[in-house]
Amino acid sequence: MKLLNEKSKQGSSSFNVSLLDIQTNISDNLQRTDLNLPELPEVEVVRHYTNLSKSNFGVDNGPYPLGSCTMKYNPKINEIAANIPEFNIHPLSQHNKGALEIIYRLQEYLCEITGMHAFSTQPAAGAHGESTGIMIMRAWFEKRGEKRTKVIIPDSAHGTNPASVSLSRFQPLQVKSGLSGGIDLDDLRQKMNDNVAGIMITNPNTLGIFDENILEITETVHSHGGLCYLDGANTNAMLGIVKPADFGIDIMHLNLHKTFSTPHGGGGPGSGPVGVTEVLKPFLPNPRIIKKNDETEFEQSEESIGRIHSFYGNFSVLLRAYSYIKAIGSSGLRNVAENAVLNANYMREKLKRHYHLQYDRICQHEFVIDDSLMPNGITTNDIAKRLMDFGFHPPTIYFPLIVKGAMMIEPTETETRENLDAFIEAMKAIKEEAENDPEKLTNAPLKTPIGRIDIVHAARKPKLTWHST
Amino acid sequence: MGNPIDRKYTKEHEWIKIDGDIATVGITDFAQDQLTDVVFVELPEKGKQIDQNGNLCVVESVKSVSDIFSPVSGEIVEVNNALENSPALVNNDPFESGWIVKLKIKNETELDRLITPEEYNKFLTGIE
Amino acid sequence: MDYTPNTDEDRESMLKEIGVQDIMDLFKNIPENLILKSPLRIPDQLSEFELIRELEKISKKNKKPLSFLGGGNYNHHIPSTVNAITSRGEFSTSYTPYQPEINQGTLQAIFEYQSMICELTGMDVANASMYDGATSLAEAMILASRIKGKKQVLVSQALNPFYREVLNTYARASEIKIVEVDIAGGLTSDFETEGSSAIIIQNPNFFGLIENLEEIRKKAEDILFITSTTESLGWAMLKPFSEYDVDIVTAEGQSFGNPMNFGGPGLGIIATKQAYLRQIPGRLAGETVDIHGNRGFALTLCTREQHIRREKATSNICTNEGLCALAAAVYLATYGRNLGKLAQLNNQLAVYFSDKLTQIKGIDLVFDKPFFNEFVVKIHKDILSKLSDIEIGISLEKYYPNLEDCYLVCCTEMTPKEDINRVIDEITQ
Repeated sequence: MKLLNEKSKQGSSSFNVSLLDIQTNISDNLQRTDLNLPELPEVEVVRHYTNLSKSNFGVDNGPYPLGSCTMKYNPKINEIAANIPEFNIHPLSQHNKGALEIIYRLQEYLCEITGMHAFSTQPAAGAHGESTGIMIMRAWFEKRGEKRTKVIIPDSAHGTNPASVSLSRFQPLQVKSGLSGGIDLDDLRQKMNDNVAGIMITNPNTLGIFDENILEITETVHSHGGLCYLDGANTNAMLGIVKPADFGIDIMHLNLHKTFSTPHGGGGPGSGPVGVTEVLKPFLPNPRIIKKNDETEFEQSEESIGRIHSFYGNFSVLLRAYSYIKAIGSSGLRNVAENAVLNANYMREKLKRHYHLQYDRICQHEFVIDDSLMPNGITTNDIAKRLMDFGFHPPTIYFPLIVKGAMMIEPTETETRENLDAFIEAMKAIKEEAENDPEKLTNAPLKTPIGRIDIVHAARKPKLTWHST
Repeated sequence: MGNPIDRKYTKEHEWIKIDGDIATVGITDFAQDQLTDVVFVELPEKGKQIDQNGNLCVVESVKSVSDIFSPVSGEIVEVNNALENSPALVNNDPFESGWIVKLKIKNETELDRLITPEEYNKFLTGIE
Repeated sequence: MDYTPNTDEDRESMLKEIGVQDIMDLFKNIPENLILKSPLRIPDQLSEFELIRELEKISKKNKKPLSFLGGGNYNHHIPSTVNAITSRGEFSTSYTPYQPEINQGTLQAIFEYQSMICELTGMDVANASMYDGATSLAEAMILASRIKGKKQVLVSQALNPFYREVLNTYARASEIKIVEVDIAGGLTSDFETEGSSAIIIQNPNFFGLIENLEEIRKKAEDILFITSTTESLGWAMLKPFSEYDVDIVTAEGQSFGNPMNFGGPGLGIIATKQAYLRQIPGRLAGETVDIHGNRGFALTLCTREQHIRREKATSNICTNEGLCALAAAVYLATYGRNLGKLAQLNNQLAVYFSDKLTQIKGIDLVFDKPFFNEFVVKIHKDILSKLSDIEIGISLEKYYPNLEDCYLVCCTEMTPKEDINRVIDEITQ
């Protein structure tokens, strides 16, 4: 499809702006002399993007079992909520009690759901929540005058974990996963000492397994004075079933764009609120939103790590999450976890007959298969590309790193039984093609607007704007 | 592709060819195969002093970024500028035109720690 | 509402297939004593109409008087094209385009967005977005420190005070020292570059004033020149940063097609010279071809990112502000070259307002220097009481103790002459 600048025609714009008869105070030598933005009439702008959207695939198009991302259905009522005009105010307006009320109530609900004592909604995404949480960890030990330099991270962790740890100048210290998929307790006990600030875990982990040793894990860390950080990306499997605070978590983040149904937007905006236990409350980012005498207000804490966002986080995302929680209610939240886990186990049970399942045990909301049994050199990448021809977005591939050729599948609770069966049938068909007609896979995708993309070419000669040659 | 016998190797899959006090360094066929298509090589500056096992360069492929560590200590005297426009040389001709740097060796005794082609072949069969 | 479609029959037959009796058998890895025995203390479900009624009730606790607030978040008209496009489910309900073949829409849109940001700033490469203007500046600070190897940066006091707070937080975490540069007459004053990696200048600055970028570049020859912009509309009127040899441009792009939304989501922008291409954090969409030779787009240079480089990554960013960048792209495509006129109109309205205000006794223009669409006035307390139902501007004394009774006033096309005249009338009555 042509680019905007290739369609540009000077003088064709629909968006004329009438100027006033007022002299500017900016001298000519400070002003630009040209502005080469493309010029298109409104009809062509709308057609351009409408046609681009047809080359895109979202949850609204079909199943999107991208493991670890929780691509559940995004209720449209959330969009209505987010567009209520009275909520669209300036962040420094004094007439903000409605907005503050939403943030405050959401914080309270997130506390109830997780067992944490306080939340900050400033982090704009999960990774942002992670780095904020690690900063809180650092501040805690600094206050106690303890110099701890490391944070333990399992080898199955998402890449944002070690990256977030490094941001606060901690050294990631890797701990092995055991044969059953959980953390190797012996390795943990060996590595945990007074020089380690704590652990950063995901539970259920990236294999989709709830670590049955979780209490021993957090106890081991606590016994050496360390803190436990939970990457809450997989909270979809825990809603209403178990609270992270109850299994020893001190700090955690949630991904509102995962668990709480806010749209992924093609790469955001998300929201990664960070929650803490009572003793860590003073370190939360400033300002905090609290209630005094039944009135919401801002509060500044002297021990806060400071501000980590220009304002209070992604408010319209918070509003959508609040709307979702209110819409489905208490029993609805539990329903989410039960059905997410049911759907994943159903798929796991049926797919393990055709694909290798390294950890053959009950999973939570996601599970990992791999390409080790594939004939004719067919890889996970080939399977993913061919799935597109069957009308599905592929699962997450090549993650977690501890499973070679991993394919992480997370159906979510909003998928119908019929769609789950259709996905399973597609995977069966692909396995057969791998045996009898492998070229269909290595040349896939065959039915998409564009064929298999050359990513080597993209990286060898990076062309990142329409200006560069 | 066999591993040439006119040079030494390391267990980190680097090769090193000595000519007087100049050592040419590159990565082996096994290494380039693991990396898959190389898209960029971050070359060090000429004149830089490197310790043995210090960061020599960074080789970037579509799938990963690998730090290459120096098998010996020395001073960088030349870098393979052809890699700027043709990083694929590392994949296609890892032992010859895909060389990465030339170092002036500081400490000859370090060469004893390198392994022979036979030892490297044996090491590879252990991994594969 | 209940978005889980499984019927009782579905559940029963699926449990059978799995080989368990009860759904709770699937949770047996969780220590029994941790399983919640009672429901969460959250109200039970609502229908759509009940939900909206409740939310509207809460929303009425907000008020929207005539407002001249700016300072990092701006009230601009959002063209009707923007929401028409961003509300399309193909865009809003997809995620990061890891699989390029079925995400060419997002990828081409990002590529075009990157191109338009580079056109506006004059830089060689821009990324697909960061969280907001403050955090993209923090990332630029860390980047500069890594490139130059010195753990110290110079920061102008004319930088937005919230941004300075965020920089302090990140500087503490990264062990970078911030040295503040004084202001004189509202503009950045003298500085010494010794020991620093970079200097950070906001332009237009927090007071709305245009900084002397040429002078600053000359004085900062040996360090990196980083700019921050909160009102990016100004770029459509001012000379691009490339004319001043700026190294890294960061900004808040909310003015381009994104509502105020009580401060978020924002749109973090970062753009640099070609030399820093491999150091830039976040996602990049690049042009390439498919197996048939057709032009296509894909995320590229991913190996710098967290999912591959992990602890050595350029940044930990994963989810960014994708849909906000799309909104900005549609906004820029809609206005096109006319964006320059919109910028001029904003400036004209601000000039008009500041002239009218300063004609009134008891109101003075604090910095008599060129500004874009924000300016600072000192308003006598008596006059202020006449403006109780108008948000005249941001009170500055909290952030700059010597600016007592001073307010940062912002004008946009949403505060036309009519609104400005109303304010003048209310005061002069």
